[in-house]
Amino acid sequence: MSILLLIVCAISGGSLGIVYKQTKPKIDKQTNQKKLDALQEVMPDATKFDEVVIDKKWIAYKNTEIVGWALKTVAFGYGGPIQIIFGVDKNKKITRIKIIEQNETPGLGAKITEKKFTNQFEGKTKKDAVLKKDDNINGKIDAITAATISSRAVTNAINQTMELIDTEQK
Amino acid sequence: MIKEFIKGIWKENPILVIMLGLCPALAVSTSAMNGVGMSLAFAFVLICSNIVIASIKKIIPGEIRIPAYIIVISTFVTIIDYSLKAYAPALSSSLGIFVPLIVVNCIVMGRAETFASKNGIMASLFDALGMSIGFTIVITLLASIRELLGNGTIFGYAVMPQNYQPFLIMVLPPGAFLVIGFLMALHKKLSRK
Repeated sequence: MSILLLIVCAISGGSLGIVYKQTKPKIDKQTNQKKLDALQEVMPDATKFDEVVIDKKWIAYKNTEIVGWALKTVAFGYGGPIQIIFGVDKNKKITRIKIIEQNETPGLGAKITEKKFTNQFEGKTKKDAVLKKDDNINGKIDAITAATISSRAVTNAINQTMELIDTEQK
Repeated sequence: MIKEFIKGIWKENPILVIMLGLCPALAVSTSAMNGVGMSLAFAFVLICSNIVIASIKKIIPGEIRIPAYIIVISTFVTIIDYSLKAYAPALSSSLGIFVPLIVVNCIVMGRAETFASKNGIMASLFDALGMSIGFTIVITLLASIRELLGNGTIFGYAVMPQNYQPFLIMVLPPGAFLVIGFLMALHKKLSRK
């Protein structure tokens, strides 16, 4: 009886091994490609990215000239971690932001991925990238109705991560 | 054969009548695309595992049939999970944990135990096909209704007028219960005649 079970397990294990081997390179490529696409999207001018802090900070070059930085950060939203990539130009203004992974409530917090929210960050400095709700003098970002936690998480994470460009500049 | 095939669609619909596997049905049906994706993954697992179980049922002793079935089912689930990640990453990330969770989906286990382990390969294939189609129809309908009311779109296309104010509750968990309740009631009413 146990030998039969062993055989079933062995066949299952063997076939899974084959599938794993077949799909692994493809899965890795997809994850990598997703990251590259995201980098290109937040820094559309750049032609090359140099990863200076692994999985956190990239220097964006246009040919040989530095045009800005791309930064990755994780915010803690209502439904778990939210992964964000955003670009900052040489004047330390945000170019674009992109939410690469999130688990917020559909229809509410998940709206952080929509252009209506993300476009607000374009051209903002560190000082501006604050929710209007939290700082009604400098804040320039409108929170999403009924999703303040998600909006605040994204905004604060971006704001804090912008410090990274000042440390060890080039 | 035809009888085995038809019963899954209407008379013994896995969601509306047997009411198994409600967890993924309710959870992923926030958009029509998710519903279809989930149905395809589910159909693959159910069909493959039903065939395999029907063909090995004679050599597997009764005492170890449950662990053996679980291994068979989980193998297919892992295969579809890897394949989705490799070839349909967007769908895979929106279905999230619910693909691996097909392992413990009661419909798959239930069909293995109540049907595939007692019937031939062909009958099990038709049973799985019927059940999959029944599951697909209901989950897609459920997801479309929720997406339409809760987001104003179907398969991502806006169909409601611009000034439509979405019923947010429909894409949230309570909406799933409401819609499935109405679907079950409708099914009951139609089958009573």
